[in-house]
Amino acid sequence: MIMTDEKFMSAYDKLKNTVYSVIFSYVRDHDDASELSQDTFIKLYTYDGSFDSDEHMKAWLIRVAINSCNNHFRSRKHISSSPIPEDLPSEEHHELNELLAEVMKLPEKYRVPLHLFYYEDYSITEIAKVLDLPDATVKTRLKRGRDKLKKTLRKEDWL
Amino acid sequence: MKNTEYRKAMDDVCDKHFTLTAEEMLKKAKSSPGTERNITMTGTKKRNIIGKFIGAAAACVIISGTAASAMGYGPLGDSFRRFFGKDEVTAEIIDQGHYCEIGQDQSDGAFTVLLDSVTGDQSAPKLLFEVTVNDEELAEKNDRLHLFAYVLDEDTYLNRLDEYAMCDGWGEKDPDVNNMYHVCMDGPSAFMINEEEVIAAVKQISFESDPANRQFDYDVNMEFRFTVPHQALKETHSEYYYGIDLLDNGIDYDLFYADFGAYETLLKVKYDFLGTDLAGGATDYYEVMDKFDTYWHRFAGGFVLCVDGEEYEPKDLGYSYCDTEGEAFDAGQCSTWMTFPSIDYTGAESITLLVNGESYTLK
Repeated sequence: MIMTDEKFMSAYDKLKNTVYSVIFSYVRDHDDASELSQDTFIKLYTYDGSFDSDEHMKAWLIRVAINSCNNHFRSRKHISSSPIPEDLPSEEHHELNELLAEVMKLPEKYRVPLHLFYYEDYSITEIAKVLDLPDATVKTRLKRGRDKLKKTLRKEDWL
Repeated sequence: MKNTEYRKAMDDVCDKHFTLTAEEMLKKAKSSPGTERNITMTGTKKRNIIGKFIGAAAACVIISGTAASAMGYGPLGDSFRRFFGKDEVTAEIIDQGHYCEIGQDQSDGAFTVLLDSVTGDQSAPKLLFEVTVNDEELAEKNDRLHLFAYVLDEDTYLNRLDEYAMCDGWGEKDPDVNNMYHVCMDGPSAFMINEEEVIAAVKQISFESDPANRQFDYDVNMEFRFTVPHQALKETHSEYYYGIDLLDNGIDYDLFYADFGAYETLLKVKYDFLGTDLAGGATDYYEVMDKFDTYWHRFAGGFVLCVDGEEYEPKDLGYSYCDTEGEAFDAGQCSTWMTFPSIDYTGAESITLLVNGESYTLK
């Protein structure tokens, strides 16, 4: 499928929340998430390859978004010469829905698989593929993440 | 957790904070540098690259070993060896042509500081300074001095200086010039690998002996601005890992990052301390960090890095950083590190980490 301007805009409308949300679940900062989301869509616009389907494009975008997040953290890897990474900033925290706020408080290794599981309805195998993890690791992380949530959420809020 | 509620909550966040329309995004994509979708390089792009190269060259002259000799600089690695004889790794990096001359100097009457050049690798860039102390008596009393500088980008330097510590480096006296010192200072990789303008602001020069003035620490204010071209720093190789969990005494160390540099191999792990037996119910990491560091040192001290059958023992074991508000990574999560000697990642066929009889593949 050749990426015409019309297809690009249509893909953006369909997938902007997918891209922004997965990035936000990593970086937990709205400004960074917005910037990295735009970078991700610019990469889509300049991508020379083709996609077999919309699902293929979506998986590609999520993968590119995750790589952008990793690179974002990589550029801050030297703790002595970088500002100390902040936890969920208070303004972000205060405006979030309670459930979302609790998920965002989890360590990255739990919250990103949980996000893909609950937001994208991805299966364990699909999450494993996009995060480049063994299925068993994803399964464990989903379970541990859910266990942690159970301690903080009201009973009716968790599955 | 109900996925519908989660999805709705996240959609609300997206709708509120990512409001760019498709038309606006398209416009941004089209105007973004490097968005030529044709693989063939256009004239405009060529001009941009040439312009960028000229811009960089104005700030920093790249000199390969051969070219340097032809220009009369002599073998640069040998010059480096003369002043920093113990640092053979950097000398070899310079010999390989990873070096850029800055050549900017400033003086305040008491001191003249020359930022001579930048070298090193992408993980551990080095700034080479030459400091002349005009007070000859002060120089006479000190075989070395201590130089402090902020090394940051402009935005950080102007707006967020309080969040950063100064870099520092000791300078040894020149063998021939009594009041001149050569300083090799470690610089911040984060600001020096992006080919963007760097500010090195020298703020303090300290001495161990100052019998005449009893001042010891001298404030200075000298700013150097420069750009480090990509090839001035030797490439390193870094890898992110997922799912490598190293278990010890109920602590789950997640090996998530490795950096294979010219100076050392760095491994980083992160772990949750809350809820571990070792924490004993403590929620303030600073109450228990010594115990965690002791356990990490005992555990990691036995690690072996195996590269194509050759085994390497750990070089340094790190101390953790963490706080209860989760500033390191996440709430309750801490990070620590260890190093092994430098290895050739690209040339190696197999790299494994041996931990208590278990083998973890790093390449």
